Amino acid sequence: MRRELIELRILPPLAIGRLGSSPDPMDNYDLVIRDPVGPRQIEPAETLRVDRKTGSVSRFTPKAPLRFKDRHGVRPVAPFLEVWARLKGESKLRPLTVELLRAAGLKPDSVSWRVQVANLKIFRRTAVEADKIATDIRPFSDHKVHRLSGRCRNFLPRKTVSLGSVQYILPSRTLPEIRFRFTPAGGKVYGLDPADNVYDSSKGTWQGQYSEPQDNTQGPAKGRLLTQPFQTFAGENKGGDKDSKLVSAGYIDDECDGFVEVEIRNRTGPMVRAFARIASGPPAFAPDSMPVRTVGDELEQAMFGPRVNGRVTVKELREVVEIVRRAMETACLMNAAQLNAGSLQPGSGMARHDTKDWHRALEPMFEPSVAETVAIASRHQRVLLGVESGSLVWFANALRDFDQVADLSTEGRRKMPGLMRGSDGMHLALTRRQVDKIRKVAAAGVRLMSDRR
Amino acid sequence: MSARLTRHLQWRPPGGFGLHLDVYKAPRERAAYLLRIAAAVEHSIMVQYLFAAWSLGGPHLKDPKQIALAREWQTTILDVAREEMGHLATVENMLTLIGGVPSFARGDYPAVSNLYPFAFALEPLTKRSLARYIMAEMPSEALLKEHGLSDRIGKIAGLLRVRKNERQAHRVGILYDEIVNLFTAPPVSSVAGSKAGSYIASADIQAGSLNYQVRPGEWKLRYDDLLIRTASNREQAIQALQNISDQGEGTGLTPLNQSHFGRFLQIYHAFPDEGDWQPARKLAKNPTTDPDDGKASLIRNREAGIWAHLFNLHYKMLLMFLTHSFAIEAPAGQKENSPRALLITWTFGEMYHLRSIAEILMTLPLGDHSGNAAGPPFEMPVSLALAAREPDRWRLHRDLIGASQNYVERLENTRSGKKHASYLQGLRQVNAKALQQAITLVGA
Amino acid sequence: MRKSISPQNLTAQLQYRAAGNPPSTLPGAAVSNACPGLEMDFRNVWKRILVGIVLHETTNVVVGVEEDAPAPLYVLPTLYQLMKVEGEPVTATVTGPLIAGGPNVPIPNTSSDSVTNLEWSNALADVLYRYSGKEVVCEFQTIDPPLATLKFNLRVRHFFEKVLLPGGKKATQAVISRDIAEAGALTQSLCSPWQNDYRVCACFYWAATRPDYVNVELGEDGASVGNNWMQKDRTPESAKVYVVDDLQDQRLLTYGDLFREWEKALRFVIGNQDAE
Repeated sequence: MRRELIELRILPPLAIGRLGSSPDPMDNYDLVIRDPVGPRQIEPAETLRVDRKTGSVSRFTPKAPLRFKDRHGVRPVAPFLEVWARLKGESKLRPLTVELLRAAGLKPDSVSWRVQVANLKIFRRTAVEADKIATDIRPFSDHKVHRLSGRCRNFLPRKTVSLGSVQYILPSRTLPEIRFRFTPAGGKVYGLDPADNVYDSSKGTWQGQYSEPQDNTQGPAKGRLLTQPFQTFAGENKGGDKDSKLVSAGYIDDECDGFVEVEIRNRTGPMVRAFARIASGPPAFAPDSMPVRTVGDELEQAMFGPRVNGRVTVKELREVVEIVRRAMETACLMNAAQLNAGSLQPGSGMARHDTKDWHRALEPMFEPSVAETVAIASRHQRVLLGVESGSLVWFANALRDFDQVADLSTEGRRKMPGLMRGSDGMHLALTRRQVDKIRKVAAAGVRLMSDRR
Repeated sequence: MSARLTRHLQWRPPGGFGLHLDVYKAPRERAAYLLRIAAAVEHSIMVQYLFAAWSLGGPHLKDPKQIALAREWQTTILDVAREEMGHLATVENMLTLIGGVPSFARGDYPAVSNLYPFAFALEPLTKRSLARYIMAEMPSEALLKEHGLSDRIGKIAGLLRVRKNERQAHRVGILYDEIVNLFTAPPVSSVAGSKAGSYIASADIQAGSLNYQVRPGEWKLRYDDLLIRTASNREQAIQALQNISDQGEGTGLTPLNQSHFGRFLQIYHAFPDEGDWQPARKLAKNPTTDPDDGKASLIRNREAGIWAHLFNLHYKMLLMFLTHSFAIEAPAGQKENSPRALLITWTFGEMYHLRSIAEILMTLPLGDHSGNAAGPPFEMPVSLALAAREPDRWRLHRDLIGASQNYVERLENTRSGKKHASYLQGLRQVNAKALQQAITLVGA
Repeated sequence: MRKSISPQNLTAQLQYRAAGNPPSTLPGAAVSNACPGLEMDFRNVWKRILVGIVLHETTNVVVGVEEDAPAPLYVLPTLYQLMKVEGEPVTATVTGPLIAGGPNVPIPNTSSDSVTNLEWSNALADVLYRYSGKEVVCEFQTIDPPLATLKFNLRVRHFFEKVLLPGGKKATQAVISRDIAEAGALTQSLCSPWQNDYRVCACFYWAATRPDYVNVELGEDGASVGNNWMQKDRTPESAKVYVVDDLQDQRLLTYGDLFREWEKALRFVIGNQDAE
């Protein structure tokens, strides 16, 4: 009896790739906590190796220590995307496999893929449509490598920028799931040398013309369209004191983001489709550490709201411990004494922004006698150890609320997270949901069961 | 208060209480003496309140309402304990201001105490022990009358069999009043009655000592009422000392219901009577590892004994880190380096360790036939002396951390140790890093 | 590998780690204090959160209107800023001392105004949760004098993609909806090239991803010693002196080094120590 595919998903719904020019993508690894107050351990995990010529995939587990670079360069992180499906009559999504396709009377080549990615960094500045770098890979079902060649109307004839590549993986007996791989580009900067220049400066302004004035209330629309912060592109300062501006050198990078879409036409019945988002960024240079506020936290808040509803349990306690751990990991890698300095010199932290952007009195944020990396890291370690014994209450009381980011008083600047900048350029607050979760867990006194009864 | 510490103090009985010092004529030395007593009292009270707060809650409570109440009271009493901590820090700062030596000694289990009306006791919170705290922190009769509390306090006093003429408002307040007097210079215009030498001379109030005092910004953990004051002159010192008194008994600036007295009273009224549900765990009173202390409850259970020793060790470590931090000048500029930040961090770390270990101790039996659980003994170390030279101070810390590692190792193979394996593993790691750091600083 | 996921289990879908994917592929590894960000500038998802207008990803200025927007909205771009949604402000007054130790007062910025926008993620979190798909009252105000206020009812766009199932039911998926951000929109306001964000701009705010202070240990005077991640040619024998960020300092990597040779010049840091 032929089954029908009712709905599809691509998981993960958002996959991050990381640039690197090595042809050998980074191995898979797990981050394991062996030392409860120390760095996570990077331990090899089952890795899928793809033969780019055929699209076939095999499993292997690499040996420690893992290498993040090889003789070619940094090994890119090339994420896999899986197709999950729900069959008619079933309530759950399952990994789509060759067998499930067969049950629906279909084959692997019934699965069709489309990819649209773009690099709009130039367009965001110039607002010129012709400066968009984009590519749209028409639907395909083969297992070849498809290059994401970014085209731009303001490029020189026949020039493109490689934004990476994608491949529909050939399912096998041992790995029968329907999967797809996005391999980011190599992290090249175009325009440094004439030889790899792609931009046509007779058509567009990006190379040597586009500029942003130092006084960001000037210019088209009084500077209100500029990015914030502005002048975030490579260029040269020109002009005198009064009319200084940054003129773009015309460099272009090969990051991108966009969509991967899958479509399957049922034998009888409607088409089913799904899409996911991909993005590429620089490597995670401290791969055993995680940031304290992440896109994952954003998505959780956007999905479930700024407050945790209902009772908090051990699950929330674990999530909160994870946040505290991330705070510790961040603290270990920051020069607190330097970032705390009440100085206008480059290399100083938020005190400099507070004085330059807002005329706040220039002074350090924390008492200099306690703003010291080893001491702060040590404190976070002890807080992590004592989470169930009251240290979480301290942490919860110290958090900055989202509407307190503009409180530049001495007290306000000493809230947590400390010494860091948020999306509005003010002092960083965690997401409201993170704050709510921490406070609720602290108030509820949730305890983990001890290790053994 | 141990007789030795207060033997120079006398109370004029009955009917009127006041201090009479038979030695220490020099005002600065009188003040230092009294400040040391104040420090000892604040320290003792803080430890007492911590024990009481930590005793609340526990697996014996099942009713969510009772659990919530116990937690609420625990938070309140912990806040009070933290405020005592702030008082202690302020007192040490005032000692530093006049060139005295910060003191972290404590008066324990006084048999007869004139200064503190009840013997200090580490005991789980009961209606009776609450009553004692209320009596100890209570304000003047006049203030009680003003707030219509005379009857209520009368009943509580009756419960404790305290006679009216034995009741004494907040005696610790009297101590502070006398210290304030010693700081107070008479108005310039008055000539008659002002004796030079009856107040601390300006030359002995050292503004430059500020860098050795603990600053709120170094300690404050975002508890807004954690009252740590520094002082660089006479007026600031007076204000700091008056604020401490005020926070306890509730006069002047602190509303009565927010004072320690007021908060204990609020708990008292909601607290169940004897025979009703018990908000606190069944803990032994005054737990100890000292078999020669006849007045305390010896921890006989072997494993609990090791945890108790570990607790006492970390209590000593806390006091030693704290004492040491007072000896390190806070960096004058942003570029000067000192281990002060590390010491303050370690001090805080010890507070968390003490709570964690206490929580574990309260799950273990005392080991006698009472059915009581063990508890945090808070036994004072034999010595809190700080070595004269920096490397030697770090030698002590190194040795103490090493001792902790030994206990951790011993505990890892016990039943309770396996039950709390992740905590012990974490402590081991924290110790290992600290040990490395201490060794580096010994070598300096 | 999981065998099944309920379509309603959005948490599992949001956090899903596909076979073979290292943890750095997860959204939980991407920074979201986007100023402007590293893997993406997440602020861009808010530009089109209110149907009909396009907001600046950072400031509260209206920067455009959508194609089929009703005519009354055309007056908004570059002239008006969004002040409140359903009565909730999206701005805050900046306060602090003008002199050290002085009282906390509203403090002006370089254009003499004491008001700053709040980041959209947090400012609109409650609005999104309660009014997704519904209309909300939006209050706009002119940026230049004379001050004038306009109110419009605008619909809150669904943040996550909604799918129509057979039988007519709508299901929420875990992917950010197509309408929210087009291809390229998430990364458009990042530094160009991305290395720009590594070298200056006081970019010390993502230490877990772009380390600042490495090879740190306690020095003999009680303070830490270590290296600036941007210091060139570090070896285990290199002196542990943190060279403060300075474009002129030869000991630090230059823009040129980063543009051309970042793969060689930048080191991976493991256990807070230089690795590869």
